Amino acid sequence: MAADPAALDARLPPGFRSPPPPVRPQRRSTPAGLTPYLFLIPAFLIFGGLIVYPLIDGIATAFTDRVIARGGQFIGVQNFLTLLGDEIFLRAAWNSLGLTLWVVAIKAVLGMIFALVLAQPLPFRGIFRALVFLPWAVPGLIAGLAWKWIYDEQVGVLTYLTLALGITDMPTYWLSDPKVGLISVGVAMVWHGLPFYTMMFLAALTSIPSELTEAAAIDGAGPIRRFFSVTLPQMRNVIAITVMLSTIWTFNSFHMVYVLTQGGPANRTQILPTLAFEYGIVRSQLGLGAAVLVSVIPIFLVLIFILTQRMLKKETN
Amino acid sequence: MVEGRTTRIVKRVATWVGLAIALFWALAPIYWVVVTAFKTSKEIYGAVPTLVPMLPTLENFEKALFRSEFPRFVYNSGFVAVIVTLISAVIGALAAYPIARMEFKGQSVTARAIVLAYLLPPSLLFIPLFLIIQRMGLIDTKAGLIVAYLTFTVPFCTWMLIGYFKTIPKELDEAAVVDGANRFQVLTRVILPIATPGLAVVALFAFTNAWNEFLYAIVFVYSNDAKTLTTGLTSMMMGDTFIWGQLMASSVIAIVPILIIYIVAQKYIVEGLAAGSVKG
Repeated sequence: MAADPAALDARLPPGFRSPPPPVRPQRRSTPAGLTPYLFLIPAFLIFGGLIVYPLIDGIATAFTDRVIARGGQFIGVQNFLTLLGDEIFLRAAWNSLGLTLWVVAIKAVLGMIFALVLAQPLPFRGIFRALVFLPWAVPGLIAGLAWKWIYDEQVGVLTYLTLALGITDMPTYWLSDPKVGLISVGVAMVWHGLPFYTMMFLAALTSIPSELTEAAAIDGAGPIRRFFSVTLPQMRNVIAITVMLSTIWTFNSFHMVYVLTQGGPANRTQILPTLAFEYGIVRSQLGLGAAVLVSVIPIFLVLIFILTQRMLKKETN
Repeated sequence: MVEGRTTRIVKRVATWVGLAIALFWALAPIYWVVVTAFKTSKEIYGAVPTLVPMLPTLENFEKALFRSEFPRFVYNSGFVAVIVTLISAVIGALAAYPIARMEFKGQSVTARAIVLAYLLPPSLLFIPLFLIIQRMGLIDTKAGLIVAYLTFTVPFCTWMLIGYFKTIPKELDEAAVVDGANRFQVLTRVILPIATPGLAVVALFAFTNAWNEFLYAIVFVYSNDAKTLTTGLTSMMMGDTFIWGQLMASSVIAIVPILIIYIVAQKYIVEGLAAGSVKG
């Protein structure tokens, strides 16, 4: 016990004390010369060769009349002018915007309600949660197939039910009626995308310290008041990240439209990703297709930059 | 809790009603896929849909597994997804380690680039990637799909692994360095063995994403030799009218691997979501 150097030091006059232990630098990591770059080479190759270069190449292609079979000539902003005068492009842009807005809004509200329900003390809560999350485990394409079968206009169960229950007296053309098609697509998107919201919101709900809501309850706030003035503000960050991530994914739900309507009837349910596919690949006008994609890049860059910022901030906290 | 009796009852009733609605909404479409898979064609195309198959049959599964191209599509999907998962786990671990642990110029830019790449939707990239894959001569091959899928699995794996690596105490690396290990040995002998559960979850996610992918698969591949199950199923859907029994049976088969992953990793899925996008 006499070997305790600190105790020994304390009894010595100042000049004879051992030097203080080196202060550990408060760095997060150790400097490492070239090594980190060696580790990053494969990732850099993928990032540069398969993401950055294609993006630049794609933007360049949007200014050419390139088709699949041959390289194109530079034609300036001609493709964009064509698109601006193209009724189908304008409708697809409008559809994309409207669909994304209402699908995301419904998912956020329903996701919150479902999360609140699943946060309550219930018997078999784990099983109920897993079942409510189940659509998330269904591959998106198969979710589309399932709804295609439900919406089937000859023998589909939805047409049968709406007729049998007297909700409608005429069969509804869920996918081929221009007025209904996009709504049907959106409902299928809500079904498949909802569990992500429910999971994220539930995780956030259960991490709110219960003292907060209890304190509010003691102060006389009712459950609704507590939700809006305590719970919701606590979840602000999670809600923002969830909604932004989901906005990107919803806007790009190519597969749902492709499986359910292929953009039809008469391009009424076309969204921008399916239109880019239609122009660029099906009609092999790569230049025009690329121009459709390039026209949405600015919106996405803003969204992605904000989101990146938030996710990195969370990560370092 | 200072709550009145009526409030409690109202709350309980609302909870159960909400739960019933949530369960019905989530499960009814899945139930409908599964029962359809077990019905005879006559029943499927009958005038009145039946809630339970009258004459349950395995005919649709038999057709899907032994008398269609479907098994080939499943094989292709599995092959592509496994290779993509292996490559991106390796590249992801290599890239995540210095970002989580070392200090170098451009570190924060690199981290940012990875998140950006992770968020970039495939629908922005498919036309330019088509040009690249065409130039590489890989259109209509599984190799082309593997190359394309790396664009989303590598950033994803890297981003997730950065989070996992940061949870491992730094003292372990430092001790190994003191013992004379180089950085690569630290990663393979110290970090990865500890991060195995995290690595497994990340790999499962990457596998699922590759298995489910549709857009690149439909743009880059058109022959049955390389088609994956997602594009295979759509071509079956477009090719024939009275095929719903077989399609639903195929869908059930295609969901099974993902469902197994889901059940095995369920505990980690929410954590994974939290680590990937809402850490802390």
